[in-house]
Amino acid sequence: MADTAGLNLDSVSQKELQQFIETEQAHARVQSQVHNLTSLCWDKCVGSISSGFSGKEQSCLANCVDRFFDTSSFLVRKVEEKRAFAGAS
Amino acid sequence: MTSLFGASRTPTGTPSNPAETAARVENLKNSIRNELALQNAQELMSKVTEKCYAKCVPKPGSDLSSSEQKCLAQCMDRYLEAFDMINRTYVARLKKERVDSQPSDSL
Repeated sequence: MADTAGLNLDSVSQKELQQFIETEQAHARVQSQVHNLTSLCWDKCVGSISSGFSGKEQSCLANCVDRFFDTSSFLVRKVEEKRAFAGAS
Repeated sequence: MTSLFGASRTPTGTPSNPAETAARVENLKNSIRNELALQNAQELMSKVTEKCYAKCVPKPGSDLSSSEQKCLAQCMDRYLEAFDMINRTYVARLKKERVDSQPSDSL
């Protein structure tokens, strides 16, 4: 959390600034995930460089993000299953 | 680069009027926005350089050949295009997940 104590601001401004920073931090986290995913999907989907993406590359890039989300929730589900199983035995 | 928190500090005890406070908050917000935009641009440039160097300069010679330069220029356009695409898909998926998970939040 950002320290705004030294800024000599009234509590309303402090709150406003705090809220602004939280929003920007959330935005920065999304931005950083987009950087990671672009890098990942670029390596997976893009072949040789030309003046435009091929249809295959285009659809691979389009699917790449959604399958990443699916992978993430799939694995979370698997871990939960494992944990439930371990708890039952 | 101006210091984020150092520059606009007033001596403690100075009564600050609302207009001055609002201006100070606005200044801070702008520095934060600029700082984040700069970071984002730097990250993007460093990724483009890394990826396009890998694709376009497989065997570094004594200089960048014209075909390597052409490849690099095209590669940068493609990378930015991919970033844009991934950005849109990612944000759309985030929104969808948020909507889908809302009813089950009450559990």
